[in-house]
Amino acid sequence: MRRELRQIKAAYEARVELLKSVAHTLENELGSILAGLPHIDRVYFRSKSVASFIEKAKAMEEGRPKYDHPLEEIEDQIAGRVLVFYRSDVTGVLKALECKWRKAEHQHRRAVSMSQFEYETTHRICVITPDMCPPEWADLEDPPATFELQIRTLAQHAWSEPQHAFYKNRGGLRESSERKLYWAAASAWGIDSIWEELQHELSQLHDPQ
Amino acid sequence: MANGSWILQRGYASIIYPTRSDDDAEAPEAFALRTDTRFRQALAVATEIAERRPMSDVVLNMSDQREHPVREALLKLAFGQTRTPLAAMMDLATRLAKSTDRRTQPSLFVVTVDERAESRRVSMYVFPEESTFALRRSNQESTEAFLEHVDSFVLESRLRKVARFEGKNIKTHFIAGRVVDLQIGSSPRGVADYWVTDFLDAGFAINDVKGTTMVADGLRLAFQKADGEGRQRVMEVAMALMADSRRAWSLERIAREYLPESLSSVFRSIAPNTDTLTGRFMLNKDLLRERINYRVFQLTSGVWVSSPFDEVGRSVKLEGEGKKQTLTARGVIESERVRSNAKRA
Repeated sequence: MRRELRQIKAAYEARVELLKSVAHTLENELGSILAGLPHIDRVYFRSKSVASFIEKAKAMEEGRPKYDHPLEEIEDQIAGRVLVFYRSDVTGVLKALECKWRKAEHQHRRAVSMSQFEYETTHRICVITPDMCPPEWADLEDPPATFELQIRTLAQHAWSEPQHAFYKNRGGLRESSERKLYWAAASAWGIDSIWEELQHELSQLHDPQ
Repeated sequence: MANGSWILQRGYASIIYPTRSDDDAEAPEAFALRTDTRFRQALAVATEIAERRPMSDVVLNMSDQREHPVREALLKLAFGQTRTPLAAMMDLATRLAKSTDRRTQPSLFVVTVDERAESRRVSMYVFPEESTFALRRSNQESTEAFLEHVDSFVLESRLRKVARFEGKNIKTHFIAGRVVDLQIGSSPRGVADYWVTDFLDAGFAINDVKGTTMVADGLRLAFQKADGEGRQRVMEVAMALMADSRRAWSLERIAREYLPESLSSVFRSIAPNTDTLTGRFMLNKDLLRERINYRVFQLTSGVWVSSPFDEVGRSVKLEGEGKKQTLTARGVIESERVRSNAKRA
């Protein structure tokens, strides 16, 4: 490990407890924000592990380090996730968040082409504001300015979590195996579509207006 | 790592004439400032004084694609080469002119860029345009000017608004900044909000829901810790806040203006840190009313009953519906007061 990376690792190790503290605050706050919403399965936050952070900090892009200032640039040092039952619930979560957590970026990630099935999740980068932080945050050098929030359905989650193991290690997989991976993604999309239709039908049945 | 002190690198200035309702108005002229020793000294003192005032964190209203015209201009001012910063200054000056209408006086808009290792700090100042100082165009260079008759007293005493953004040239920086708006909060809304809302297209980092919830939680905590008289005072504060027409508040300002020393420290303890204590937010009165849950009932007998925090449904019971609602209050009398001119909010 190069010297600079050792310093970054030491700096990150020193901040982990603070990150956990903010993650805990955010989890509670988001729980309160979403308390009245239906179909929320889980709300949880975590701080990035040292090993995972260092792996990301070492990332290269076009022959040079991807991050010049990883301690400030890596945005998922604190990250949270909301799991919802139905696709339409994602909109409800976003509406509840509007004007509460300041947005830096918002993206619904999915396969670019309509003929493909891939990872699908709504990603939102939010700004860390003073009211989220413990007093010691002010002493942190090169603090992260943002955190990441992912909002996805249970079906999207059911594909995304296991596929994570394949994400970086899929080289060498048989072609048929790769095809199965994306077939599973298509199935997750299908499950969401069916749940959406059933949910719509159920709501029409009980509240036709 | 952020060590060392900031060093003034360059400055820009523009006279702003409000043009909000004037579509054909000319764009304001912008100049690179000749940052001579006198200007540097004056600015250093003014900056130091400005820093002693409580600044509030603001966050730019970013697009989904992480874009914002003010951020683009700030990055060009901070890191741009040759002519790029002056063009960005022109963009900001034009934006400021369009954000202000004729209720606002012409003003001097000064932008400075400080450097510290890889980081830059862009500070924006607004002063009323007046005769005590003047922006004089350079004879040698048409895009250059200098401020005449400027000293630290003039800059400090006339300072109206400050906004400051700092960081590196990376995607996570220059999204949040800090402001001092010496006019905001003095009126319900309107002319004073142009600096944060219209010009910066930003919002306070502490959103109105969070800020208002902290106020309610702070009052509730103070209420729990107070004696009988203190509790009465806390309820009066809640009523007074709801009646106050000013919208921008900080927890510190509420503590200072409304709460006696014996209660203010408990109220302040609701803030997790100093920035949250002094940071401004817009008070949402409907939400405050809901969270405080302070209700006043007038009975047909002429009796008034005021019920604090969550007591409705407990010691104060309501029965029936609509106009036929009846109320029963039950409890041990702690004190009794006779008022000749009872005030009620």
